[in-house]
Amino acid sequence: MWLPLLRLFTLIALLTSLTVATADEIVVTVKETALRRDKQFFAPAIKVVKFTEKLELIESSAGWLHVRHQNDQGWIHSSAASAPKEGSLLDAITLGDKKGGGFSEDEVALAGKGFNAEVEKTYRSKTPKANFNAVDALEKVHTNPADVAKFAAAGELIPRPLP
Amino acid sequence: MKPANKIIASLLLLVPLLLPLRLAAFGLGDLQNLDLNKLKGQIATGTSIFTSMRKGVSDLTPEEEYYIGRSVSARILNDYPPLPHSAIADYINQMGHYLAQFSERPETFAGYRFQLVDSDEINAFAAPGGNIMISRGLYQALTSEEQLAAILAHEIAHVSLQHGLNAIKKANLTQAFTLIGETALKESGRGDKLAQINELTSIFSTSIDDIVSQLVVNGYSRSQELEADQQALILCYRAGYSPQGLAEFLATLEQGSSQQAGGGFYATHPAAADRLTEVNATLQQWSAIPDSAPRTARFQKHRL
Repeated sequence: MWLPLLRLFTLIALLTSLTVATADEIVVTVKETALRRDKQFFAPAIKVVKFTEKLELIESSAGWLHVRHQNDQGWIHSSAASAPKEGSLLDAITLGDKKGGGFSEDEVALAGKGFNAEVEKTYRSKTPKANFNAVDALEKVHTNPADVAKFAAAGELIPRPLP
Repeated sequence: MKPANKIIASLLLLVPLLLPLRLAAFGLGDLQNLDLNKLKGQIATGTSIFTSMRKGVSDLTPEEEYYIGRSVSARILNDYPPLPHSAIADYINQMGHYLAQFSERPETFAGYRFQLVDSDEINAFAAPGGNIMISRGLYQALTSEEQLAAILAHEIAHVSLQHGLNAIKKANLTQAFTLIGETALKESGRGDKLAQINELTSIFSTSIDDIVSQLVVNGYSRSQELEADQQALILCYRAGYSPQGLAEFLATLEQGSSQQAGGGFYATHPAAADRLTEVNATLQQWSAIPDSAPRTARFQKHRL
């Protein structure tokens, strides 16, 4: 009577452990980035993912990450996301989500947010010799990946590996 | 006990076995070993696990690096005003974005941006997070697109290697992390929070001063400059540019070093001859790459 039950539990444990072992969760660490159809910056964008959004890592290849976001799959560069490092802000947010971690979500958010917009606002009010208007104007400059691709082609620039 | 209840009870027994796997999958395996009593003790004395685990520059988040970079850029752009020129702005931003793809860090929190600044000095500045400023004097001293690519690649390397952030004195960073951790644990009324923001701003201000001092007055260390040169060679080569551009520019600098006194490139960078020796040693291992007529024409079209 117990043998079939034991087989069932073994199967459940095995399937669950496999699922858990491959469900690597990573977090977007840049303001926003495109989920692309292929692992190159000129590949068409499927959608935009934003800072702290969670992604499921499927595989990694040559510095690129194949990920799942909601119902979509695509590639982002590894410099745009990471697994929460122990003690990092992102790890703190993850820890704060868990009951019994000892911290409220507000405390976690504040603990992680060190140098932030609020600090900049105060710094700006105390530092007349800082041209933040020029920085804001610079941040309005957006470079279209399609234009970068045309720039490379027009200049006969062909990527190559190191010798 | 009914069979169904036996199944449920048995499944529940599995949970303790699966929990470590679940934590490990989320990269939180070490949390299993956390001593909760020690943690509560730390909280009682006003520290936190976040403080004890944040120690150095690499523990700053990309978002924090971005805010630091904004303020560093604002200080530089106050002394070196932007030079509006939309055609050259497009040119250097497209080139810079193309080159950044081949760096160790193609994406920063808000991305790379490239700006000409109005100064006769031969100089370039790379703020943490990716705002890169090139002086008019430097731009006018260049004679090819390969040389411009080398300059942009060198500055991108400083950003990706976080050389600017490393200028923040360790004491300032420790003080900031401690304050940030304590802030999270206090119950804050408005007055309390205001005092904490002011104190954090003061530390922030000192950190910005550290970086601006390095970029504008003292320069990076010799090893950081040589490291950025080597990275620039790699970026240019991988992007399809002739890496010879960097050697050509350094040779020009070497010839001009006796003519420029005071600030600028010569004050903030090691001797060009020194850098040229290291660059040539790498280039000797690579075969030469011919010039490109389209790139030559394009550069000439974008001269100042």
